[in-house]
Amino acid sequence: MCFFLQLFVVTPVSAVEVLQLDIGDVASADWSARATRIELNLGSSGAIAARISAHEVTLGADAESWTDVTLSCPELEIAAAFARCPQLSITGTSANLGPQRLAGSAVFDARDQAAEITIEGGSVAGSALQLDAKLAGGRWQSQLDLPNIDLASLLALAARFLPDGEAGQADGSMGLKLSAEGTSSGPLAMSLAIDARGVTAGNASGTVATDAMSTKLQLNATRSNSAWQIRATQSGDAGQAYAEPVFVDLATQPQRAAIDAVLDLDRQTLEIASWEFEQPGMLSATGTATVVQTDEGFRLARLTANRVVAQLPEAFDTYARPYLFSTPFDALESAGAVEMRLLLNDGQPAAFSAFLDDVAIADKTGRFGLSGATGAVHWRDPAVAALLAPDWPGQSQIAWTAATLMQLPAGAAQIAFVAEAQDFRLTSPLELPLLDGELKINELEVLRAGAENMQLLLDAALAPVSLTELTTALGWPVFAGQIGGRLPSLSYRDGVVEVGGKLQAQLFGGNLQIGDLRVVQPLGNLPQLFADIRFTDFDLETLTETFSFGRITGHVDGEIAGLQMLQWEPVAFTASLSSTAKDSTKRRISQRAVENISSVSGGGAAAALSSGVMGFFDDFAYDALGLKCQLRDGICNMGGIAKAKSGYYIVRGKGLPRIDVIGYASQVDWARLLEQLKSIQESGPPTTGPSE
Amino acid sequence: MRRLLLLASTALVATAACVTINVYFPSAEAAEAADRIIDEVRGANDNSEESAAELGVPARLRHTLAALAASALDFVVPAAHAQVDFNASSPATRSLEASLKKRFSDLKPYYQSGAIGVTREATVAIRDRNLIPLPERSRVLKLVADQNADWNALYVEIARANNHPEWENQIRSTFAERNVAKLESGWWYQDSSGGWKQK
Repeated sequence: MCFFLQLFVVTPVSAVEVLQLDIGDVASADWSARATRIELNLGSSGAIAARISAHEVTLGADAESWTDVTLSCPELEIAAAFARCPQLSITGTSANLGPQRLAGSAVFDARDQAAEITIEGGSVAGSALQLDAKLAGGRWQSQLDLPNIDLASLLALAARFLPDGEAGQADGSMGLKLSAEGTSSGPLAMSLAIDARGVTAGNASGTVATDAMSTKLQLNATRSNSAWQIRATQSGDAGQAYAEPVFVDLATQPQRAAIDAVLDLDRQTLEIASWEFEQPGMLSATGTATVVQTDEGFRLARLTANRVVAQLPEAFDTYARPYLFSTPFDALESAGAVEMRLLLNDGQPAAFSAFLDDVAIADKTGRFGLSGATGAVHWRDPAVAALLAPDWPGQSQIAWTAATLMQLPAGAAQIAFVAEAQDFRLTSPLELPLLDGELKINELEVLRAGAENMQLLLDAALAPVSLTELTTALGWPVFAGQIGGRLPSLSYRDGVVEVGGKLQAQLFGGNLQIGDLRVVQPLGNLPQLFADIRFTDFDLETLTETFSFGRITGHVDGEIAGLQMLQWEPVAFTASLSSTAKDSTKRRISQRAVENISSVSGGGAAAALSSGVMGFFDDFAYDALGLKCQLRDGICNMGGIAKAKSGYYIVRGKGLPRIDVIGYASQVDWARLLEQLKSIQESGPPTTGPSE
Repeated sequence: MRRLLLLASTALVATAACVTINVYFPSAEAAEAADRIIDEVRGANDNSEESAAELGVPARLRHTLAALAASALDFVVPAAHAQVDFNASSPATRSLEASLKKRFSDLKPYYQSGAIGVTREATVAIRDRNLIPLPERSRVLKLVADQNADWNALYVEIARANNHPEWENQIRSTFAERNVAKLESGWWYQDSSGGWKQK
């Protein structure tokens, strides 16, 4: 603009045919020129050929400098208040953009203070440009069109202005259309349209990147006083994008975003009256936001998401799972839809709600799961929410139709709780049907979740559950009877769950006591359990009842000392089991039980029993029975109730016909032992010999 | 002369009275165990890589020397003797080795492309995300995080299993060193200053 104004200051003198003015160096606040020369050739036809040249022109504080600049107008028409240059050409070499050759036209009419300049050509980052600028009635209008910018060249250009290594890489092309209008007091309206295609770009560290992404942006803004009213829409429908750790394939999950905002330059705030984000079939969200400019840059002062609708599993898999990597929740499968509300204050969550509609979540490894979950979860940071959202609900409630807990099927139940800051508290007991019994959590309180001094308090009781169902569900050898008990003060600290006091349970008509129970990383990759277990007075009849091991009557005591489980599989213990000393019940053992015990312990009594005279007897009286197993490194070091001549007594007979079961294998492979136990259960009653 | 003798014997007695027990970290055994575990995890065929045994002093000799040193130490300070068996596998180390091995096969292509490398802390780190296709980038983050959780747990476990929890860092250094020694050509590792180098 300045060039032209300067041009018209030099008024031609008609008596001279060629006027050459060597102005030398010219400088103003915005630009400077060295070795400037103006040549005017006054031809006979009345038209003037004008040419302005300079060795070097610098614009705006060294930001852009041009060398060998020539601005020529071979047919300059000048009238009293009118000037026209129909064939304007500008050549020169830009330090940043390289050699440039532009052509256009210019008109100036002093009568109504109107001017129009059109320029085409040149090369800005690989794209020709078209610039149209008009001035009329005190208003100006301009349009810049760069239809085919090469992003690699653009980035190379940007790299000159950015610190080393911050520019990253880019490939692809972009069309840009910018139009603006205004008065001498400044711009009043502008519109920007960007159409980027095949953008493969990323920052140097690779934490933000796109691959062959296409995106369109349309931004319209109007100004009144210091405030810009901005409306913008953006869409992406091809290629892929990554912003660590989230990856979106836009070809299959196209996205669209829009904002309606006011940028107040005086107050340095961007007030977003509404924002929208949508990915059909996955996520839709609307809300408001306030962005404040500070000395450190832009800061998200407040954000509300009024309605976020997430379709599961798509939204979970794309946006939540990457943040849950290496946590107990990264193997979650989900289904259903969740509607959410969120309030962020100073970039920190202040309140959050989720409304579940028939949601199902399940851990792939079966540790936990819920299905048919409906209800609302509300969380808030009381300090902030009290000011910003005083009516945010405090009480959460979810009901579900089925659940899974540690591989066990659980039934319909509902949970009511309060979640505030890092604390969680059950507000009414949770009664979870578990198999044919019930797990009742009377109290559950978590304080300072995630903090080092996190505290967990749990008081729970298990109403008797069928052991047959429990062991079947866990894939363990099946036992008959029931289990129930009370879990006293359970605490969690540093990834370790510890039970203070002894866990008592009623089982097989006797008592079970679990002491020193400790679970390390219960939800981690390598859960470990340590415990000392003792039991007294277990009724063998109940134990063997539905278990096709064979019927045994009598009672036993025993212990599993130093139990160590890894990934819920026993890896070490010292176990022993023997007939209860003062037990008046009849001690009898069935033929089938004898067969099975001997087959498990490596004896070969089965054939002898079913074929010989012994085959006539259903069961036998016994004096005592017992078994010891010290498990180390996958091997069970076996023992019985007493040493025999060789081997050890597992069952010591009594009366006639007397039967002794003697074990000879001193070492048994634990995995094979379990296999054998399983095969006994699966085999059912024997087909030869008398049945029980 | 008599006075000198007296002085000398007093000094000897004084020295004997202030025996400092330095618990000896069995580097050779640790290196061998590290080699075994690294081979196990990487599913390596031994012929392409140098093993600790081939480095300078043969392992057998090292063993003998270590045994001699240990028995000499035993003689002087019986309490300093420690039962060390880095190869003794516990259920925890076996389980960790199995999951490390399983995950390693998923990570291998990224070692080959140079996207990831081994660190001087004997863990895995992402060296250049830009070498990982976008759809796989977050998965590699997870694999690396999980692998490191297991490696870290393994170092703690080996130290713990040998009743020397304080050896964790030495075990880690041993693994770091053996990791690099056994690295396939073209793969990347962090040098002692933390810079990336290609083998």
